[in-house]
Amino acid sequence: MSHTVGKKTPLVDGAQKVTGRAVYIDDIVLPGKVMLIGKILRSPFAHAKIKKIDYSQAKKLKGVFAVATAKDSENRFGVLPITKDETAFAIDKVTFIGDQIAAVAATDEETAIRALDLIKVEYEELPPILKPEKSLAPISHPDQKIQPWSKYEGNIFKTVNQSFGDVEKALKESAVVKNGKFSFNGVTHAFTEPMGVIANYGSDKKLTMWSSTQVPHYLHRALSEVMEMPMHRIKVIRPYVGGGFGGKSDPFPHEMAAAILSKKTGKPVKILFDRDEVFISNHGRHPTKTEMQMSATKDGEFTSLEIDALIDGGAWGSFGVITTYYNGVLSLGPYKIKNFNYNGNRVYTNKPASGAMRGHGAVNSRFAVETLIDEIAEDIGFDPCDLRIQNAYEPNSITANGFRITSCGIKECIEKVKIASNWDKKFKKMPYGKGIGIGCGFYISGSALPINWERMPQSTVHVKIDFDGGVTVHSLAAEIGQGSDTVLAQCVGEVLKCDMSRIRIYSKNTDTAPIDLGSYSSRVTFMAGLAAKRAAEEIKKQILNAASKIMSSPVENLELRNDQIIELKTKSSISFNEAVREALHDSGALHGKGHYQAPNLNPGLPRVNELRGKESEKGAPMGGSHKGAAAGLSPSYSMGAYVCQLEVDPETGLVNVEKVWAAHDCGKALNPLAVEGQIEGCIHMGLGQALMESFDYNRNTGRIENPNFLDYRCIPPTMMPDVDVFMVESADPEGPFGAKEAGEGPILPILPAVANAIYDAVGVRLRNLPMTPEKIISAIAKKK
Amino acid sequence: MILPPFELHNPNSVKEAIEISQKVKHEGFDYVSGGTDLLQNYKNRLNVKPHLISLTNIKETNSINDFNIGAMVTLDEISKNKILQNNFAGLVEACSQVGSILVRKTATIGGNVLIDNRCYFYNQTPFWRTSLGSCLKAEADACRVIPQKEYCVATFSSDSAPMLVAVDAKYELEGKDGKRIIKSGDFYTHDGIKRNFKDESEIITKIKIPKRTADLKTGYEKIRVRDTFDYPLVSVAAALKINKDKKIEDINIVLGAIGTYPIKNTDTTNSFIGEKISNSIIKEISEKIQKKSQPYNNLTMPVSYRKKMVGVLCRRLLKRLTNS
Repeated sequence: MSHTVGKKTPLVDGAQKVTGRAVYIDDIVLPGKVMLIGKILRSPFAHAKIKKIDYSQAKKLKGVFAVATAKDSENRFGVLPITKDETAFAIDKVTFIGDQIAAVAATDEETAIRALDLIKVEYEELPPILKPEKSLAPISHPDQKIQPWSKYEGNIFKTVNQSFGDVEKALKESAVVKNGKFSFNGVTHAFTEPMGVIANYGSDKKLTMWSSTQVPHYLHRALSEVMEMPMHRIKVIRPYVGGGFGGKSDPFPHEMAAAILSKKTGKPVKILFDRDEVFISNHGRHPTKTEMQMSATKDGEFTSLEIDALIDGGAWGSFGVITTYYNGVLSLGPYKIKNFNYNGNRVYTNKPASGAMRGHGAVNSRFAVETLIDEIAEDIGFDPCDLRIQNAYEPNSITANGFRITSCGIKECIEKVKIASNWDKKFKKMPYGKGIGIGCGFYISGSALPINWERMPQSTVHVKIDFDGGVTVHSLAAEIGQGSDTVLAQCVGEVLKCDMSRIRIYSKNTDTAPIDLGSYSSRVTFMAGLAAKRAAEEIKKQILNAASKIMSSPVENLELRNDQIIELKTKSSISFNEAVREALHDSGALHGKGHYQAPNLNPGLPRVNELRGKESEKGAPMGGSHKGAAAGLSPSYSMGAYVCQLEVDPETGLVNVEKVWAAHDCGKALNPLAVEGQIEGCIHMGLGQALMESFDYNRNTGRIENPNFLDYRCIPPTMMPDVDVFMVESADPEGPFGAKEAGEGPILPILPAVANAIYDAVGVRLRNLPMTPEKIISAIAKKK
Repeated sequence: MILPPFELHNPNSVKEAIEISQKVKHEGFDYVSGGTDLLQNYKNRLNVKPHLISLTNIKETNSINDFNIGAMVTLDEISKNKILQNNFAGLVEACSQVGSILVRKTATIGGNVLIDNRCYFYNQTPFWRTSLGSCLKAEADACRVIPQKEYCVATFSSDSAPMLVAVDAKYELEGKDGKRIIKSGDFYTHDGIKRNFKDESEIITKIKIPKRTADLKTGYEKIRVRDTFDYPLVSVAAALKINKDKKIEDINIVLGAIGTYPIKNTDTTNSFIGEKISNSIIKEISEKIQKKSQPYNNLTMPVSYRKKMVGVLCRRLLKRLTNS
């Protein structure tokens, strides 16, 4: 065995999961402790002042240990340090149905539920602001301001205006201009494991928190602020996590509630969400209205793109600043578009907060771009695949807004799926009802600018080898089912050329793990992978030095291979363990550390004072110097192209997706098994948003109408199409062993591919997601 | 989501089950067979009773004897039964499309014909019902679908019942006052809360299929967004007899998931008896039935769509059954 990367590798924690031995929050029982159950009282109103909370009766109920409210902590938190607008409990007013009012800790769940019924809250109802258009308007009374601290007019959370090139000039030179109004209902992550948390505030005044989270580090920080405790007295443990998809990438109020209740009672407190609470917590994809215009010459050269996006953020900020930028700038690849205008507004409304979700900020705009490209192709008589290839970037390009595209396999992706799907024989040539369509995608491989503007590595990995010969890897990259533990093990194994069974991953505990920002923005393989590789390289040097002593041969002549150190000239060898023992004999410890920090940002970039122009990585500073230049800036970009074939029943509007050919440029597939899984998972999730998933709100009250998996419909396994996956390996110059992301970008192409295939099948363009049966048959009826 | 506390009883015979029901009736009880529907409602704290009488151990009702189906026979067993496959294809079609395979392995035919009516405003969590307000069928005093306080319009969601009504099947019931047999078509009421004429103590023990069903062409079509899990959004059951001259001798079309009970269309279809089956006749029948249908706005798809689908399903089903 000479390579661990590039091999189909079953997840290192897979056996634990499939045999039921993996320990999730729900399984955790603290030995010798009475564990209390926490339940949360939530607001039944979308917008109301809290006049009075009386929990005296609840406190008297037998089995109730404590009741917590905003009085116990008013400190604000939020995942972005610039928009901290969340609190553990609503202070003075509630801003959406489900806002946390109070929490109860009791001996068991039934008692806690009964106690919630005994808490009396007096509200003064305010008219809820539910339509994002309404949030753009100036307010006439302070009560109308959903989040009082926001500096923008009305209930605007963030406005972004960006302009590159000269759109007006470009339009004059264009032969075809296509535009459209698109709308996207909100969708949510629908991860398997509902959120859960255990807080244990001990007599030593230290807090331990177990939480189903993607971001132990941000949770650690937020707890420190909310609980007013130094971080070194807080330990965050991430047990096995049953999926996240962005829905567990914020610190959450229920985590704060558990900490507060545990501190009040001196006992461990567990809070497990019911499924409707998961829907209420949401932080899913933003409902968005997008107006888009795209132009091209008659020769098929894209000339301009204009986007106007109105993004419904719900009641909190979450990742919203980033979302607002991403809706624009992530449309600037994988095609050469020189002239670009973007106007984006993310607004507050009295709904559960929107946040980050797989393909964060890029999915909705991508759908619109890829739809308009097909319309342009039809107008100027181009094949949609060929038109995309013609406009695609080459490696080592700079986009209009200063993104640095290094590796770039988009053309190969398109060619692969075009040939595999037998496109030329099918497009526009199949009988009515049957269709084929293409869509592409473009996504970041981690954000170059960290959320906290500090000079701190974005990922650090420690590797330790002891006398047993075991290789212990410490990281805080959160394994949430995506395979991050496995990829770190592979990166270390590839350097040390040792057997995978030697490698043990410890990634659950902030006490022992070095800093890592967590599992979001498709950053783990790239950033933590590089850190792991570097840590392993450091330790490799020490092993080779020790081997050199034993074998009396210079290090240059030695090579690690198959759990051995080989002398290249004499072909003699010693075992991995022999070399390790020698190294330990001299030092007592074999440690390696590696870290990652994104390449320099442009020195002219305003506001990012601590980070700009400082030395961190090789290479020239990246990005432009305009406001917001760092948003969407990534050390590398993934891209992909999918072709989808489907059948539409023109009478019922039901769509049967038959087959998807999916090509994704992931640089290098470190674990092809995991990459394939991510692509198939992305297709599943994307088909859901395309065809049936929808967060429905009551128009008058703002209540989520379908907070369950019957009425909020995900694609069932029986409706998953056949998927042929093509991993395009463009060998990224900076990624670990050439790798870049494969977890989020692969969702982007599927939605427009479906829409374009529906057009090919029945001749209707749908611009509102989800494309439900009734929308399809009414579009067909209108056309007739 | 946890189940509320209740006492579980496990009788071994119908007689014993009824006896238990009489002992606990002052506190309230539900019979439960597969429980795939009832227990979910219990989790949502919908009309929870302190006693659950499980029918699982009762052997006398769990087999199929020719055209008599024990009420405790699972939907999966019906789907696989050779006699029914050959003689009552419509029931097999209906039962094999209920919920998901996991549901069909557990859910019983007795439970399916008694399944609680469903409504967007009813099948929700307690927290959901505290915001905006609950409905007549749960704990409040007003309907949220049609603003009135008199009756409930929750949707009848059984897949098997419309098919049984279409062939005039009978239900055998046993209760504190003994046994009785009732026509499936007379069993259901217009009220989404009361739903049917079963006495509280009664258990459906048997579904009796008329012998003449074997001479009919039967079939079932339904619309749901997903081909598994979902309850029907609209469904059509048909039973036909076409003679040698291709003339309609007998026709019954029953709609499910449209109103509060399985809706017969005898008035509409009777006028076509004696007509020669043709595409234009099928179209006419379907259009008439569609026109008459009145879905309530209480499921996740718009009324206009569901109404349109009545006609589409009807036409497709009649074409399929008559090879037109």
